[in-house]
Amino acid sequence: MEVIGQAFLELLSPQVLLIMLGAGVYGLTMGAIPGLSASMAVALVIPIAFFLDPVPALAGVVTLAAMAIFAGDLPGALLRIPGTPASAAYVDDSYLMVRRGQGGLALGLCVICSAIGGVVGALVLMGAAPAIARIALQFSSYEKFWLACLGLTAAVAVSGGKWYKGGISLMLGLAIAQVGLDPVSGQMRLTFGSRELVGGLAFIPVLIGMFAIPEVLRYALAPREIAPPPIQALGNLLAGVGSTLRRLKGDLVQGSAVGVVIGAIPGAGADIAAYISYAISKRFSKVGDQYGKGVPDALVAPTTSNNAAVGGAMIPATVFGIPGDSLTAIIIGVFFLKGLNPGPTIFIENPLLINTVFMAFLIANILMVPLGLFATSVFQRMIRVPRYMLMPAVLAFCIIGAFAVENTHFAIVTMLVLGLVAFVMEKHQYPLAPAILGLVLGPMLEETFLNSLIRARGNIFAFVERPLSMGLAALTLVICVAPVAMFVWRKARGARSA
Amino acid sequence: MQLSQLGVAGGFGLLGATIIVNTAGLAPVAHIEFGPALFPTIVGWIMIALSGLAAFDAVRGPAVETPAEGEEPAEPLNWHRLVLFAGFAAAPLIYVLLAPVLGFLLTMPVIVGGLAFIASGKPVRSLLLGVGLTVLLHIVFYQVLRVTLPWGVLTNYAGILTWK
Repeated sequence: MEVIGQAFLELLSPQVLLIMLGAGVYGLTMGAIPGLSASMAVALVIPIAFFLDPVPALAGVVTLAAMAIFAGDLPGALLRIPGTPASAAYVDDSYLMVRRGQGGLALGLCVICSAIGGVVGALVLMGAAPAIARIALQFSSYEKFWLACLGLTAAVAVSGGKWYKGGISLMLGLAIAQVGLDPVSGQMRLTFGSRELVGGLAFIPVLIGMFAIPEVLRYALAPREIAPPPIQALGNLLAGVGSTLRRLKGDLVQGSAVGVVIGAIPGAGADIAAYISYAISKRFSKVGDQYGKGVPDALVAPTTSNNAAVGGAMIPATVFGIPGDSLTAIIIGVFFLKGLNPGPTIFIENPLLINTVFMAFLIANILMVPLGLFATSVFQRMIRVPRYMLMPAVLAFCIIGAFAVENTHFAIVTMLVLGLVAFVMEKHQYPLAPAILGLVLGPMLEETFLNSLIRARGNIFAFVERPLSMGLAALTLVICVAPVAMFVWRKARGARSA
Repeated sequence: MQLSQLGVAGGFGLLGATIIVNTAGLAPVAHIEFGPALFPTIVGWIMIALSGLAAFDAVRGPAVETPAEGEEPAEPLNWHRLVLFAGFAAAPLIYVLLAPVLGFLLTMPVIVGGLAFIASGKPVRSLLLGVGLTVLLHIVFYQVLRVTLPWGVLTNYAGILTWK
């Protein structure tokens, strides 16, 4: 408790509060603009975080992540275009409510439920993470290896589309992580004689390239302006919210629980949590047949769930160093940039800092109520920023962001090349999240793999001798084999029916 | 057969092979049985195997891909889009080439304003955006965060154009 008190005091510094406020406003703005994802918003701000002290940098980044996920609800309700994928599950309901004159209630529910989900996620994170970290301290390199494998295979399994494309994306991330000096012998790998590659590919240009450049190039191929709807009075955003939430308190609990649990599964992010929560709510609601037609019942669970998932995803990220989704992978990247190693030892070596980050996340979700209500009232003017002005500005930010951290033009070229690769991958339905997770987890996976092999003197059975490592290995194998088995079964069935 | 899918799968297969070949020559470490090539070799082989599956699927797939559920069908390309795409894709390289010579303050307005003009055809707004954004970025990154942005031909005026 003493550490939590100190963590709270750390956040009261004017610099930290100002940065959290600025990050909140930025997150709300970027999340609210259709086509700009929360991951991209965080990736673009990392070059600035790089120059800040660890506390303001991490507090700002977690605030931004929380706000961006909520802000995705705004264009969903007003334009029927979800600002982030996490808002896609209930976009029809919120949009139809606005069309029907219930815009105040729809957006009020989005703000309050997002804040409740975020606060629950933050509280679970603060309670569960240190406890799990104490257990994780007992893990040997075998368990750590299998945990990394589990995280990566789960990321591929839930990435959507064809599993082998997720696998290729993951291998690309692992390959990028291997560029530079080999951690065991110090020899140069995959540098192709280039001096710039000896230190490896810098994290920030790779991130900016993979998340921001494809958005810009997509716009260039289809430069349509989104016609803004006429400005309409939304009324009191809090009117009717209290009575609706009292009636649907079960959905609030369900959304929070599903969000935290799904968010904690590596690879599954806020969008999957929202879809599952929406489906459960629809299944058990008395007005389930009205879902998709604009009923407030359809909003509560998923919009709570997607924000709770951010806190859930932070649990494996901080305890094991295994990010739950691409957004958390970027946050973990900021930990590394600040010289901190996420994992169970961070709770012993840096208890004040990690608790300050958790506390910042909690406060960010509370701040979401006033900031979210304000953003909702001004959003209708905000979306009038034309995309022909926005996209060149995003590209300028990409260029200067990639350059700023490395201070070399090679970083800009890296960003462009990775951006083009990511653009081609997305065009051909290759998911990007496994690549980012591979990039972040690659060094840990290789290190634990080689350490375990050396410890076991090459005996691969040692990887499954301990009960916990055997359990994790079995789980990984099931996740690996299931899609392959399904693939073979579908092909066989297709061949039979043909 | 889906040619573009096949091309992408082939590209990844080639990358897997490159990883294997590039790391095969790494010298083993004394007293350590498992050298620096082991992990990249595994990654390379898995990439080749998965690329093979992707290529197999591309060969068997219909020539014209149907858009995924919820995805809008692609609109036909025109010259304006192609120029805009080329402009956005080339802008970082143009910056890398021009910034050391012209400096950040002259290069960035050209890039931002130029792209906005190609996209919108509105010269005044594009110019204002280019200049305004450049000044803002310069203040944040150069003056506040102390990033050493290039001055190029404006080097002699560096002390005049900053407030510190």
